[in-house]
Amino acid sequence: MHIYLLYSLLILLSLVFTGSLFTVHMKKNNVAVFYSPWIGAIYIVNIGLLANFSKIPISKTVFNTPFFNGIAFIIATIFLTAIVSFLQAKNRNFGFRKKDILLYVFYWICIVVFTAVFFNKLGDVSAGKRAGEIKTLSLADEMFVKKHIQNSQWQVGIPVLISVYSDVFKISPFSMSKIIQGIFIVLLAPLVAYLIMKIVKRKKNNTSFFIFLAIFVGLILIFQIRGSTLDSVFITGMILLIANLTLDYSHVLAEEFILAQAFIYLAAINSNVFKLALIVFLLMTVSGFFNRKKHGVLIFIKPIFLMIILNPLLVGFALRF
Amino acid sequence: MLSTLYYLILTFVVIYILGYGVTNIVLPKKLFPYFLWLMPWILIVVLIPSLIILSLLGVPVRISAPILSVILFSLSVYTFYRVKPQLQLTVKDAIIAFVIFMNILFNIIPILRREGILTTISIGNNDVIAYATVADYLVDHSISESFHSRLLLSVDNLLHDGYRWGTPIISSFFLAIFRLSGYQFSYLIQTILFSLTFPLAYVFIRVLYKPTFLGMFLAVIMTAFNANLLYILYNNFFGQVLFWGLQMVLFILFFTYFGSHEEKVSGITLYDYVIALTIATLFFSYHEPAVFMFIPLVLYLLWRFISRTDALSYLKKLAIIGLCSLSISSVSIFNAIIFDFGQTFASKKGQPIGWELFRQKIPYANPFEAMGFYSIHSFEPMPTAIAILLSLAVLVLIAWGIFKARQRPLTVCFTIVFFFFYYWTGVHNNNFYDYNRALTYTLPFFIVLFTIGFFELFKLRYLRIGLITILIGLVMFSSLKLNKKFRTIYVAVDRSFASLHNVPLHSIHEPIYTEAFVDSTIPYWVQNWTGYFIYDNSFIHWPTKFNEAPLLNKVPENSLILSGKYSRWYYPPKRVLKNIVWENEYYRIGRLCSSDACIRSVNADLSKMVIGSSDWENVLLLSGWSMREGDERWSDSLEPSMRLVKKTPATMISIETKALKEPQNMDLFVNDAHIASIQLSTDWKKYTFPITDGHDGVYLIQFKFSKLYRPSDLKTSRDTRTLSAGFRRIILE
Repeated sequence: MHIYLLYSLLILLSLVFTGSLFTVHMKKNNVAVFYSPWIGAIYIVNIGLLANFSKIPISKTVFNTPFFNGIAFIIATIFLTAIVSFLQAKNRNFGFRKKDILLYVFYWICIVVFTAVFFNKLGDVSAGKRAGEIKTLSLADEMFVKKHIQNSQWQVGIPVLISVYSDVFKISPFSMSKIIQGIFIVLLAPLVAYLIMKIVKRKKNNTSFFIFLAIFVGLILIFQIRGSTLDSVFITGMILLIANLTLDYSHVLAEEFILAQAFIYLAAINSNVFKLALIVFLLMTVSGFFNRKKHGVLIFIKPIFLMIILNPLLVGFALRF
Repeated sequence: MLSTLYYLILTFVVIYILGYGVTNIVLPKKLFPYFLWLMPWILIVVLIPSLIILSLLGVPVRISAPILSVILFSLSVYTFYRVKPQLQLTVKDAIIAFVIFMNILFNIIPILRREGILTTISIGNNDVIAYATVADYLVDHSISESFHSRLLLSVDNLLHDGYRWGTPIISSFFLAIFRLSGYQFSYLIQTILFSLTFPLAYVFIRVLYKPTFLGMFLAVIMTAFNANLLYILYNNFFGQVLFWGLQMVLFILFFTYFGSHEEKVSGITLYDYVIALTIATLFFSYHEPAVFMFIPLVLYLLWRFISRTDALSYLKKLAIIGLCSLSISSVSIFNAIIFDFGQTFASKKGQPIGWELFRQKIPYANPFEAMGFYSIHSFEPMPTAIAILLSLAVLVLIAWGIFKARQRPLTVCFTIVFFFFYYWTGVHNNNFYDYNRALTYTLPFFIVLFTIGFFELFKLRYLRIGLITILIGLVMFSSLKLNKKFRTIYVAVDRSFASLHNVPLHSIHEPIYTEAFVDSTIPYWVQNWTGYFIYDNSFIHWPTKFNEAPLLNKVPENSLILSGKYSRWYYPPKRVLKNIVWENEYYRIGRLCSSDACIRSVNADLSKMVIGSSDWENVLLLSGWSMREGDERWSDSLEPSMRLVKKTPATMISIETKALKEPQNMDLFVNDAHIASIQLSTDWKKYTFPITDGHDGVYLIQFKFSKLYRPSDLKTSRDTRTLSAGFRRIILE
């Protein structure tokens, strides 16, 4: 059990590192440390999806080599992104603040508790099963063989994440699904908190924040005990992340990139929610057209273009099926 | 002929009109002096990724081509009126344009002189079927759709194996605009792209050296009429033809960007975007030679670190370009890494890759031959001493060119890597096919360096003119020899194939079996192109039912079958067809009459089969037979079978046969009764055997042999078939 808690810490650190490659470029990144695990997860999954569309399974190596698998491609791409990010970064502020150290510890304890709670539950069986499948057979090969398409085939945003980490730590996808659930349920809380604070336009106040957080975590706990799937956690997370980023939107390339990736990830979880979110986003574009003081039309169109360029195949599937 | 010239000119008009605006916007200012010759390539590197991304999204080219055309045309109109026109034509440009025109005519002579229709030709390679079929497919279907649909094999290969969508989709763009079919445009677009490549050799000379009139002339002619490059074009290796152009664009971009002050500009510049787009186009189209372009850049990075020449700004740019390229074409790049890794290490020594050895003795082109001065395709190797001397002269000129070129370190990095590949493929792996690929990938680069070296070394005006005349004369002589060979042995999608367009497929609601299903010995060119027209990228007429029993014809009785009547490419075998549903002077479609009962009703003498003169060989032969070779036919099985029809009871059977090698025992069965067992000799001999229980009707004749031999093993020829015995005649009396 204790080893799984270590895994959750390592997962969290890797997600924060990957996400920070983007958040370091955000104009307002004082709370970016809470976005970075989500962004890290999005990026890892999107590379994994692209590798899958390139006929590369997550863990099965190609040509009997020890390194040509999806995970190797994910690591290589993150490495290239890290070079670009560090060389281009104008500052080295990752959003970590010494005075928030207690907050970070609090979150870590929450994650530990939640992971422990979920370990005695069944976990997300369907996500775990699908994660096991895409470890050895890529999405593209599966489509080429079956010659037909179902939403469940390509909506593998969560299974890819489970698959990657279950292979890295060599544990079953079902166990990993519980760890992931534990991590991301807790990570929902800051997204909600910051969103509400932005909406009510209050400056950050730790006391009120902690109170809110406690209530929120309690609600989630109840919610989870009644049994929710990983889908609902990630869909909520993506919508909250997109909403947060949009409210602070300063149209630097990194933010546009994150938004585009978040939409792709949403498409890889649920195409209906993706379409809905896209409509809302496009409505904001239209409103931006009438409200020229703040946003022009192109500002919101750019992430959509980026989304299409980054993974046209998946976006196409999500729009058509 | 007129249609070919019409579409040739129209394609140029479309390329230049659509390319004008986007080139004005995308091309870095530094490269504006080369606007005219970079314009087509900027259009291509914008069009290919755009079309592919839209196709991956699910938008077929039929829809995306008009939309993109309108956008690009609007850009051209906008920039034409808002921006000062960038086109400045000079005499040199006019000469290059003339060479382009002549080069295209040179390469499409067989179409103009003999075919008379807009079509595809090849010196022998069959790859073009894939480019034509996929181009047609992508007009009406998307790449996204292909991921979850059943595809014909010719489409599956390009779309699913290599993810090389760029070459067919650029054809699809023009097919959608011109409303043509893939077979009509696939060769023409290659000749056009090839002709647009060699002006870039001149641009590259200007980047590396200085503008010279004679230099332009020498480099352009050496590239346009290089026999080694023309051979690739004549084989329809579309990917490689496109690669040459993209390669030259990348060279021009790399050599004007890296090490310049633009490299130090922070953020993403126009240069970064254009390089990333070109790299994305390369990976989308033909990724095999990508390593030739990128390993030298890594080597150059190392050099910049060692020499402390602002390596960090170069590294920044490399990383940005890499990430941008990856963002645009990640699926193709990931797939390319796996695909090329597999191809590199899985290929067997000496494995052919689409062409035969050009000559048995020293097939490897030496530097003198590589430059196109002496054709490896037409002549036997030169005497060794002369070859060494001339090769050394070429190498000295190239080395001198490197020494005198601008951006020497980067030039050296490319040279080192290219020479490493020559060593690895030619000396280390001893694989001619890989060596020739590596050589033809890199030739334009060395032609440019050779030209620079030549102009630096020979400064005396008359000597220079004299030598250039000799060199151009040698290049033209070699290319003319190859072109003559091309005109003699080429294959074409001629009028007979094109006539299949008139088959009323919409009114035929059942499978149609092409001859390939009945006889696998029919040339691939015929198999491919009859299938192209009859199946037309759908499975509506694709056969699915076949006979299982070994003695029966694979195609079920009474099935609709396409049968040739006349062809330039093979002798169409005679078949008995009933109820003809369509026919013209070349082909007919009717119901197959192949059963014993059916052939008995044929009003012809089917009691004897004299190879080469019997009309009905293919009706009478059942299984285990190889193709006809003049007046003989060999069995490639241990148990071949056939049948003859006798209107009166047969009393004798006579056979003229021989073995490939002794010992060879032959058992003869007629209607399942054992007639004889004999040892065959390697000389032609006639054998006659009595038949005791003769009757009128069909006689099933079966042979059983003891051995199979391979002529190549016996050193009698290079034939690798396994054969049992040869036959000249089998007659029932």
